[in-house]
Amino acid sequence: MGPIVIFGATSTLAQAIAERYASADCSLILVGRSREKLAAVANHLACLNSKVSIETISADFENLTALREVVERVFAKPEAPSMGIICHGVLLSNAECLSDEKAFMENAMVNFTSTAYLAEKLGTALANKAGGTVVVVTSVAGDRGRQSNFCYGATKAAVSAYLDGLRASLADKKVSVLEVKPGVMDTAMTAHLPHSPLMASPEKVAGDIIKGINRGKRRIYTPWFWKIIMTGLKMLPDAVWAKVKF
Amino acid sequence: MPKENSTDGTLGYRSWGRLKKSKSSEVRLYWPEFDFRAHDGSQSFLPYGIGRSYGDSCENEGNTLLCCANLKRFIAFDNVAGVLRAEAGVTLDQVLRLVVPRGWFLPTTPGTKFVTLGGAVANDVHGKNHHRVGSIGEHVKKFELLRSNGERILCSRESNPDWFAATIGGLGLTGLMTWVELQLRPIVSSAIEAETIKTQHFDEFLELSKESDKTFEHTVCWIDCLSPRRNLGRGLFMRGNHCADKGQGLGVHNDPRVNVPLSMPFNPLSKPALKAFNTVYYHKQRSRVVKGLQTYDSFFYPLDGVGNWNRMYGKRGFFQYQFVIPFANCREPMLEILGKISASGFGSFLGVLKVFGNRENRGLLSFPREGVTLALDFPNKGQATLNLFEQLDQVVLAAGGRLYPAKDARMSPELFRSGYEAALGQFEKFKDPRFSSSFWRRVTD
Repeated sequence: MGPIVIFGATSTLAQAIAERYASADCSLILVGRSREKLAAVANHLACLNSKVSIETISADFENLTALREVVERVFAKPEAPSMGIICHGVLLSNAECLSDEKAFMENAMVNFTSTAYLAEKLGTALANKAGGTVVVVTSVAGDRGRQSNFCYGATKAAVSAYLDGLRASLADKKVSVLEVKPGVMDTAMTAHLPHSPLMASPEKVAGDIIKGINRGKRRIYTPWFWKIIMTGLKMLPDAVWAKVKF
Repeated sequence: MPKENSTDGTLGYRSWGRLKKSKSSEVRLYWPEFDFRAHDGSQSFLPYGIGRSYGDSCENEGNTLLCCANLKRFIAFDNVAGVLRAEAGVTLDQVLRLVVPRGWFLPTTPGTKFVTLGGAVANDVHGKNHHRVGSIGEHVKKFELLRSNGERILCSRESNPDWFAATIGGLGLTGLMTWVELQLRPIVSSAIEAETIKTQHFDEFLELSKESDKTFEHTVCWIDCLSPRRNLGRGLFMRGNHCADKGQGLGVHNDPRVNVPLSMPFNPLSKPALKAFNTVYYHKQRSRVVKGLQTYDSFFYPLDGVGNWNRMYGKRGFFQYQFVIPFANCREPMLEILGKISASGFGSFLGVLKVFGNRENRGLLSFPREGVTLALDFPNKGQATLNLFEQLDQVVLAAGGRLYPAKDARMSPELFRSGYEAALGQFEKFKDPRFSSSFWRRVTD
């Protein structure tokens, strides 16, 4: 099996996923923003398993050309990747996005534009080689826009729609597309939120994702109960939804 | 985009004893960095691992905890020299999983593997092999300390030795440890060749310790603290060595088998139940000596098999009382203490006796010293329990002993001062002005 390339590799979830794959002897290519943090993650993985190859590439997730070049570079290697996992994202509050145009742009750029662009580039590159899997982490926040964070949720909903089409277009090209919808997790991205009993550990979510990949799923909620919660929330009438303040 | 990086006022159990819920803000750290300047000066900080200290030494009520559980990356592992460098939130559980299959083991270990490296160093934890290798501080090669003024201090015996000494056993008050480098000990197999000897009395424990400390790396004695008066200090003396038979392999421990999901609404460990349990546990072993191979997990960490066992003590929680008294003339005060505990009937299942060796502590405030230590759990029965502790304190004080801050939730400032007097003045020079803890305020204010 070719290496697994992970975008947003210094995110807490990506680290948990990488740990699982490195322990299972899979080579990894880690793409992230900060060189320093990438090195910390790579060192950790090398301690866990000194036999696997861990490569790090730093990239700017707001520069589509640079991202395309990263994809071209990793697929030009003799052993092309067999899977791409997209984990990068930024959690900006509605207040931030709506009061600051830069933040509004950043939200759309990082969470939708670069994610969607990368997903297609990875899917096509895999189709041109031996096929494989594209995994994209979205969020339950994309299922229905909430008053408090619809800017973030909308980007995730847009990625979902994009992936539906991408999945269909790659269906006969040996490429499967898995969309992961995690609920709230205990990660660096949510460090400013109070701890809640609904918060899942990144290790648990990583385990669910790997299970989903191995079973060839198209869409998973993790932990599983979010599927029930979101189904319920989606059915609420608009008049009731308007009263939901969270 | 600047982000406010702290959550306000979460009320919850913060320490293992579950005596009270403590309200503090928390900052969850995911990278070994923290901008102290971005936070106003009204709040003090305390590094927090996974909350396995029993009392309030890991609490910072009304202030801020720097939660380090996610600083859990390994940094470097030298498989030839057995040197591991890891972030401070890495647990001993993680360390064992990494190093045991490669033929290494912790230099010394407390009775649980669910503690962080940072916490282990900040409390200078000891284990069953203290008489041979001292506490963990003796095996720490280096660490990095991040001070609230933003300074990063590399500490070792050679570089900044005074900071090194203040931080080992320094209860997290000298700054935030970001990573720790530890010297491991080699093993041939992960099994332990263990012997369990039934003892009738405290005197037998002393004799056995004296005899065993020469030939066994690990010695400890479980005692039945509810035993009848003529059998004060009877128990099961356990001793062991790392097995030298390669054929036993280098297997790693499993996850906890069972979990206590909820706090019991009452304390099910009633006096008659405990007394019966202790008696059965003591008499379960029929012959005087039982020998055999054990996994390191069952030898060192018998209680880790039950997740959240602290919930067994019910809503009111429990205390652990651990003290050490000097070896010379230890017999009389120890018998007096065992007698008082037995007469009160307040003790519990977990009671452990151990002889500490004559080692020079690396840490200014390190707890161990040459002598005999006793650690005992007590269900919280309110004032009656506290009254008993006060009686025990008097004996410990008169014998020139001291209590272990990591276990304490109630010692008086006088008792703390008398136990750690020699080093306190020196320590205060290194305490970070913006760091504090509930424990520290209690014993120094």
